[in-house]
Amino acid sequence: MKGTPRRRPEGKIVESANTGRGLFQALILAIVLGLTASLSSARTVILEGQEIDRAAGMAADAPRMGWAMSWLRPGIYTTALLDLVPGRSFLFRFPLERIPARQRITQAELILPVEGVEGTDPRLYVWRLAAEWGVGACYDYRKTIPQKIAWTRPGAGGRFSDRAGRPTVVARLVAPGLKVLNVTEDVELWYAGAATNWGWLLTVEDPGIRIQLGAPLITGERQWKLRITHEPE
Amino acid sequence: MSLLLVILDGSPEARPPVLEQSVGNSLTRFMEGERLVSRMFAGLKSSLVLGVIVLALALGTARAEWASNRLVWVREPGAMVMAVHSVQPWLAVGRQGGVDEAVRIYRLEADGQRAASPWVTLSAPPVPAAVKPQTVVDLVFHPREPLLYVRWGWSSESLADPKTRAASTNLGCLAIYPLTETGLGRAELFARGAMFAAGLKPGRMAIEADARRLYLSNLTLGSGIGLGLGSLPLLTNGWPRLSDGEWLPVTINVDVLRGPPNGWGFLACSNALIFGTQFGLATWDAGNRLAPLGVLPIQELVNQIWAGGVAEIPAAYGLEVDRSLAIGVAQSDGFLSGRPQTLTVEGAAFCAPPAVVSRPPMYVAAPSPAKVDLLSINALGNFDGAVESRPATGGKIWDVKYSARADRLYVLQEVTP
Repeated sequence: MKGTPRRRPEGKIVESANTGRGLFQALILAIVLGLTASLSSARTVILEGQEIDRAAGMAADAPRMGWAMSWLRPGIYTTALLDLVPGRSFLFRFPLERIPARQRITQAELILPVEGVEGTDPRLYVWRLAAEWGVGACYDYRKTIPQKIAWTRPGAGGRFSDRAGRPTVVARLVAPGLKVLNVTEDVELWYAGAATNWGWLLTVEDPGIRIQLGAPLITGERQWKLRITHEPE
Repeated sequence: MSLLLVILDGSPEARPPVLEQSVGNSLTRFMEGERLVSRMFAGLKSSLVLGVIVLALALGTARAEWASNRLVWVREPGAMVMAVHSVQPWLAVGRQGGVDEAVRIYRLEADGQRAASPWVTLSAPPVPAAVKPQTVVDLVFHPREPLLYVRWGWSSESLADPKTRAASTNLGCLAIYPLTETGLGRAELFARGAMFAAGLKPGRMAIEADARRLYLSNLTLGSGIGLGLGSLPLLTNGWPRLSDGEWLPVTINVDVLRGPPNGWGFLACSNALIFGTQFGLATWDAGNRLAPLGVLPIQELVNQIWAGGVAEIPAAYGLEVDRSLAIGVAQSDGFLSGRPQTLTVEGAAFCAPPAVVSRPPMYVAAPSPAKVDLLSINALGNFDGAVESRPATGGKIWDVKYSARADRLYVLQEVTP
């Protein structure tokens, strides 16, 4: 008894499928064609670390240095590694000129080479910068040439003024490796001109946490990537 | 101005045709007008192209003219180091190979040329019998006051002699020479003790533009501790700011950044000192005890780098010792900022710190033994890729210095007496 009702519906379905096979095939074909068309119109631009046009490493204990990224020895900062701890952060900007005009951003991913994590529940914060910064950028100032202009709060700490009100991404890191972060919203904003591209700020906000990344300007520069997928509007 | 006139005036083709020729029906007038506008645009375009060419030629000519007219060769027997006063028309040359006239100070003429004979000469400081004499390591003028600072020292070979070694702990290594209209005032010798007798060259010095600190290199910080840099405080008149009767430097150990010697040149700014290391340019923030040093490594570097710059241009420069790599990095108050630029200069083997020609057209003068390369820079101090070479005829080039007062680049060249 159990098998009969099953078989019937199955038979019905088969019958139904047989009768509508042409329609079904047409539908599949249409979907495949649509997907192909969609895929063929989408393009991906990959920006690498060497294309970063502005960068600065900020540290509270070296408030005027613009390249305070990691200790070579205690008291000696260098750029061989990006060693993020509370009070030490990194600013960087990818230019977006390589994205053609009249496009829609469908996805943007920031790829970062995480080399080490320490502490309980390590989290990396990615913030969209809201203020112009440039030559002389450091913990105290967002630029010093031609005039010194301070951050609203040191270390680009002013929410809504120096950086966006909330982080774009808070990434939980459990192990070293390449980390892919979704930054579509920021890239859309910049590309559409709704906000100026001043780049991102990477921070560690929680006490006891250390996150180490490959140096964006030396050995790790080819591992830093911004992958943007776009399609015609 | 003539260039502007060419652009505004346009070529003869751009001039409107005689208006009477366009009299006719409205369509003809419209077409004539259209042709007129078209011809005017064509003329303006050709004028602009011409203008750009004239401007480029003018700039090129200005640069070539600058290099030929404003580069002054200072040919001197035993030449080694040189200093130019910022305010006074004085040029000092430190010489090797003798006690007498170890330093010669020349007046500069109105056209920036050096006078034929020295105005003042300085001999090495007196030493007890059987102690080897000191030689010049480096010299700098105070940026405003009529003072010359000379670092004297012994070679490592001289210090190997026990009598010289013993005496060196009591004899001063840093002399201040006051200059007056009539010549030399009463000189004084400072920096006594083993700290200052490292027996190393190069041992460049630097003084800030606002003259609050004098920086020394090659300071022996103690047996097994290492070699450091020192910052000596100055009074506003350029004389030592003493503490308990002693002129003691604030020191920093830089052995981890560069092996001895460490006096390859500096850019002394109001808050910090930029110096060259075997990794790249570095900053010493003498006012920061928590994190006083920062270095910006350059991957391509093999050797240490000669360092230099001027505080008023927001860039610092490095020249790889005996090689051809030039480095430029933005700086603000002595703190490095932004991504570095590198430039490989064909045929160069850099032999002294760079000098920055800070009046337009601006250059970084990069000396090699047989030539000086002029690396063109823009207003922000960035390399624009253009390089002009000026070969030396005769002896080896030892040093370059720029005087903004005279707008002259002085090139020190050793000649046989």
